[in-house]
Amino acid sequence: MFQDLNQFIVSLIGKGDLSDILSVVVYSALPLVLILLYALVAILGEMKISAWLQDRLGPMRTGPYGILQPIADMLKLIQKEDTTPKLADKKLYNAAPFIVFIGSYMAFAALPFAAMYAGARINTGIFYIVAVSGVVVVGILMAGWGSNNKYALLGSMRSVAQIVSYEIPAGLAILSVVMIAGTMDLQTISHLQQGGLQNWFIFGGPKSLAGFGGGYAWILTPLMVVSFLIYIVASLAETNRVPFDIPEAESELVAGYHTEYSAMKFALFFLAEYANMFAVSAIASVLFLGGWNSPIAGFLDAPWMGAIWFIGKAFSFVLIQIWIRWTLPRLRVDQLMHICWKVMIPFGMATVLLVGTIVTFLAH
Amino acid sequence: MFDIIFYIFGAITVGGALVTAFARNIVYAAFSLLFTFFGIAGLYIMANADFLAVTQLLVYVGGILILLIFGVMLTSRIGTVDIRVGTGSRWVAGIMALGLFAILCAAFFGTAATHTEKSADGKSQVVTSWATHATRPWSGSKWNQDATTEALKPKYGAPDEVKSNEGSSGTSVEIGTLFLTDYLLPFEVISVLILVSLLGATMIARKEPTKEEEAIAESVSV
Amino acid sequence: MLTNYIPLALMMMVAIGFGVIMANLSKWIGPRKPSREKLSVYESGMVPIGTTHERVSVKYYIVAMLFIIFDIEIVFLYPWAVTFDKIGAFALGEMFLFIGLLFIGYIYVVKKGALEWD
Repeated sequence: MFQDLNQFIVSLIGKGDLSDILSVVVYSALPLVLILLYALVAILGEMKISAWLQDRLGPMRTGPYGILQPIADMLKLIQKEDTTPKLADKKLYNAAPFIVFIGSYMAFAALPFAAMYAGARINTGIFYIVAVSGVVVVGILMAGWGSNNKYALLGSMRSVAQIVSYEIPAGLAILSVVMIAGTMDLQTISHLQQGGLQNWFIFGGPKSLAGFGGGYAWILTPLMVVSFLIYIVASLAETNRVPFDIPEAESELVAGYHTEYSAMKFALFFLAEYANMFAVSAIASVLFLGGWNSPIAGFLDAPWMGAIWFIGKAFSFVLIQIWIRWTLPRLRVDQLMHICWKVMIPFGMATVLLVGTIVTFLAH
Repeated sequence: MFDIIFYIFGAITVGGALVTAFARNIVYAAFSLLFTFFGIAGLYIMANADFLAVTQLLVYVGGILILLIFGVMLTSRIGTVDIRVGTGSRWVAGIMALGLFAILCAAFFGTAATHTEKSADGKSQVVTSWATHATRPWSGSKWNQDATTEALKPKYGAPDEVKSNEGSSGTSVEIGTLFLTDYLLPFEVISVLILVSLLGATMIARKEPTKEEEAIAESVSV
Repeated sequence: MLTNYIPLALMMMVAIGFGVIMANLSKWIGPRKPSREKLSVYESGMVPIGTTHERVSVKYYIVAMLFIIFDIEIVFLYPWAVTFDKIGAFALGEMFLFIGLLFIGYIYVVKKGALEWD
């Protein structure tokens, strides 16, 4: 992939240092292009789906059926005034959107978009993605403290408490996949799930390879479904989406930690939030649903089709998140903490031990 | 090139630490630790300790730093307090720091690194060297175009080629194996340690305040 | 192995560059008409009361403390997860002991009520 890109750029501007640097930059910026395009589609999806669920039409004026609405919104945001409250802590206030955006973009660096493209193939893959979300948390705290606004501070505290709490069940759910795969490298995890639906980790992982229990791996299916559900619920909480949107509960906290932000700084938060939604959906699809693999062996599985499958799977999860948002009511804080600490963590631990037991006895 | 990256990470680490030490505003001091922790993670990667680097990010940035900032926030009006200590203890602190620095230098330059080399007549012999350019972990991998291309080129193989654990040449597998074999006792002691800290945290957290303490808390938080 | 992490650094630079451009775009293009009301802290249209940086609830601190403890446990689980199937039932037993000890602590925390959010 990198060589192809390099050759393409060399054919355009000739070989030299410039072409090398350019191809490296383009290679590293590909996820950014994806985030921007996806955010436009997802914002339109959010507006249209909410409208349909509430028996409205949604935006209709900008372009046919309002499909240009996100672009109009973006242009509007660029022209807005960039305000900084007088009492805000300028340094923290200005740094917060960067930290949040960098944190969410860094998660994209390790995602395997296709068999031939992953921003960085690192062997700590999924563990690294779990870790960089900590950077986002620090950015949210910066925004809450720096804004010098009561809503922002409360929103950021709630958000951080919620994100860190749900990181534990998410980590335990991810662990059960790592245990079967025997690796944390996301590209290897994707390769292992080749050959159709039955090899996906939600169905117990690859059936043809030795060392995984072969065909008996089917009996892991119920445990993996539990892990999958734990991960999905935890990912909703980590992205502050309904029913876990207490940090941004608009009836009590206005807009949570980004109450004071305007113009493009607000847009950065917004983009980071949507990027996070995509990232957690993508991780769910890589870990449990085959990543860039086609569900049927040999069906539309050209190497470049992998990117389509990957983005399609991740995007359908994003649509489910939007659907949930406009369907379910919000939880209370005590309910939220109860679900995390008293339901999901014991279930997660039990799943890890049971998967461990089965894998140990299948592998030997 | 790797030398430059090393110095960049070093500068991030030291710069963050300096802000932490000298900032008058305790909130800045807490937040600048983000850069210190991040820089240290970068240095770990330079030392080929990738699992340690990610753990550094997960535990320190995602955990300890959050705890510190929460601690700052639940202290009343700490944001406006000038927290620098008086000049009295500064000299003592300076001498202590210099002494620690000297010890660290002694440890750094006194540690011998050994590696095996083939001598001219074909025999392998152990060569001992001190902290020099040659002992830096990244000195083997020269920065050139091939390295970049190699790094950006993911392996693409059929599923049969991808055996369990293949392609993950990182340190996590070794760490796991060592924990379960050679360092079994420390591993289990860690679980006891975690248990004790969990009990301790709960004890401290749920202690019912006495009437005096409640009165103090009320007078402070107004 | 080190070279695997070069793309991460490059991606980080892309993110920083994009962030700088994005955050300053409206500063360059947008209007600049500050007024007293506009620059005051938003408090639902009322005049802000008191200071923002009051003490926050200690509950958040407890959550962060418990999170670190469980987080460290997970850090130890990951290297185990990539190797345990090669070592066999012995490794599994060790992990039952490890998680079991933590689970005792967990039950204590639940019984003590530290996880109640009230």
